[in-house]
Amino acid sequence: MIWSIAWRNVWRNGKRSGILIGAIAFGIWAGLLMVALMNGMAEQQVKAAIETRTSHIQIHSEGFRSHRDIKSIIPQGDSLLTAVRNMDEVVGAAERAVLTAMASSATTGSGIQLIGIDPDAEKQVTDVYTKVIEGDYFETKKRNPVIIGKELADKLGVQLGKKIVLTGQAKDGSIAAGAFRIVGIYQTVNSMYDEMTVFVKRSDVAKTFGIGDDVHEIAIVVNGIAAIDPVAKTLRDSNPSLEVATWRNLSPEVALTKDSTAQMNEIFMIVILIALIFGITNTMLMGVLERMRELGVIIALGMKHGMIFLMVLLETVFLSLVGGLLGIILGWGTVELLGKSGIDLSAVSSGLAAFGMDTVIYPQMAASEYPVVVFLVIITAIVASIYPGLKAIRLNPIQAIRTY
Amino acid sequence: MAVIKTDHLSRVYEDHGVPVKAVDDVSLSIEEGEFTAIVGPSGSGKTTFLNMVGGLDAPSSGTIEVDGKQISQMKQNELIGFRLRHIGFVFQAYNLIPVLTAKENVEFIMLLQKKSKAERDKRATELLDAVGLGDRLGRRPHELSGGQQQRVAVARALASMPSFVLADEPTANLDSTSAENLLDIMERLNKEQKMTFVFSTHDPRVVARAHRVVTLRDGAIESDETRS
Ligand SMILES: Nc1ncnc2c1ncn2[C@@H]1O[C@H](COP(=O)(O)OP(=O)(O)O)[C@@H](O)[C@H]1O
Ligand SMILES: [Mg+2]
Repeated sequence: MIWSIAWRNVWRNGKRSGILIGAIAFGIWAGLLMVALMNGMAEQQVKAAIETRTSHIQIHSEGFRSHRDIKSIIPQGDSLLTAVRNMDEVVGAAERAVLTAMASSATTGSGIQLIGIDPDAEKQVTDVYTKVIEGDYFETKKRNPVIIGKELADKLGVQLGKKIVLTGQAKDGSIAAGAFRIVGIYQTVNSMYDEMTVFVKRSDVAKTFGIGDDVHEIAIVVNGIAAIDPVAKTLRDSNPSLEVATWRNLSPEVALTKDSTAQMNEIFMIVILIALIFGITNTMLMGVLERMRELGVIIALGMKHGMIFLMVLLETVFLSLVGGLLGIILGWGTVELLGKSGIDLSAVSSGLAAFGMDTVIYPQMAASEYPVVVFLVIITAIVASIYPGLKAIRLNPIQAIRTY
Repeated sequence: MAVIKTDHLSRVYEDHGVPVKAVDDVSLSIEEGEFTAIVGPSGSGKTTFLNMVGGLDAPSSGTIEVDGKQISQMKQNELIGFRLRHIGFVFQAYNLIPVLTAKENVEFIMLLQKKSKAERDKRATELLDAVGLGDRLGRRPHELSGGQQQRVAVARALASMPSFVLADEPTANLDSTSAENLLDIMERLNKEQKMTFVFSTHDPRVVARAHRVVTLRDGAIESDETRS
């Protein structure tokens, strides 16, 4: 009966309860949507970083990532690649030659990262081939084909089919250069990457810069996030002289974004709930003060303090849960809906792309998060009920009942 | 045996630093089966007296014995349980829990006493029948008249099987017909169920119904007469 009294009390002042339920529902809805949006942004960044740039794991020779010396090669790159491909968890792997170079058109030049790839193998580890907006991904048979980013094409003032000159230090220390024809222009979400990264065939790099079949980098994709660390550890153990880096090492800023987003989301949700505590406490306090007489009567009749407190607590939890569940259902619906259609932020976010972000965000929320929110709402309600509950307990029945 | 026995009972309030003797040296004994009215003008100490006897207020001096137990020394928690088991209360107004039906209000007190569902159900129905509300079991207080609400309160007071019922001005908010009606019911329950009633009033027509009339003036007993 305590439960049913508490439940019926929720609906006694329908207007006041309604306002609070609305406020809670709105707070939870907005909170969930915000959190899902942040999640989506972070996840998309991680996804873009992994799929387009870093893959899951990369292998280099010791120190290559900092000094990028053309002579820092992976010894027996081909046999290591075969060994990697034979690992159960590995879905794809590709070897690359990586050079620091200069790309120039007739009018201007720009420092770049020249990546020599085997196009078929490369498709297993990065999705740049899906980002080609003009031309194709090394399908047209041309001598010395090159694929550059949209950003670089604009900067150099060149178009598809035009030639650019790639200049760099050859293995023997001399300066080497070659003319390459633009067969494809790609565009990823990260314009900095697009300006910096130029793809040519590994065999063409070998010819132009005299590096033979030298390999500087092996990129690996495994069958799921969970497999990354175990595979990286195995590779480290079996190749102590090489540097094995995961996407987190390769793109620490994205990893940081992901981790701090999770923390921010927690803080954000807690701030919302704390704000709700004040609203709930206030409403419940009004309810208790309004019911002084009847509380006084039941205390006089012999209701124990614990029961009185429980009654206030249950009423608070019921009230909060109605609002909370409403907010969760609305939030869930909105997240599901927008998770499919996405939210286009391009109008407000021309800067996003520079940071490697999509302009269309797909909010996302793990199903397991919703019960956590329900739990947090209950905790919030319990905290919010303490003060009104104590007020009810401390009521002096003779003063409450007095009719003069 | 006396169900209520007060000995030199006093209660002093401070009113802006001036001590006010709300109840002044009252020694009174009430026997089982009595139908007693505490009367006196407003401010004479009726409510204060009943509150102390009901364990809601603590005496400044003197003692109160209820069912042979000293309640003046009991701790707060102990008193709550004692009230629940020994004393039935009817207040002047706002007796009932508004969100509960008449029957649920009567059951409520038995629920606090941890009585079984079947027993609650049976006794609540019987008692509401006894106060003439057998056809109003499912009504909420706001769907009942003031007189009917007070009858539910009387039914609830009896539901806990107390040693006696304390009613502080139970008819004060009722018209005279309802007041007469409530007194009829109380008197019948007194006769049929041997329930002891102690009620306060300043309404002469209600006073006329009492079997014993204790008159207070300025907190002290002015007269105490028993009628046959
Ligand atoms: N809490 C209190 N503080 C101060 N004075 C009080 C308090 N309660 C009662 N009194 C005083 O005690 C006297 C008796 O009051 P009360 O018992 O309510 O009388 P009655 O019920 O007969 O009208 C009155 O003078 C009243 O003003
Ligand atoms: Mg009074």
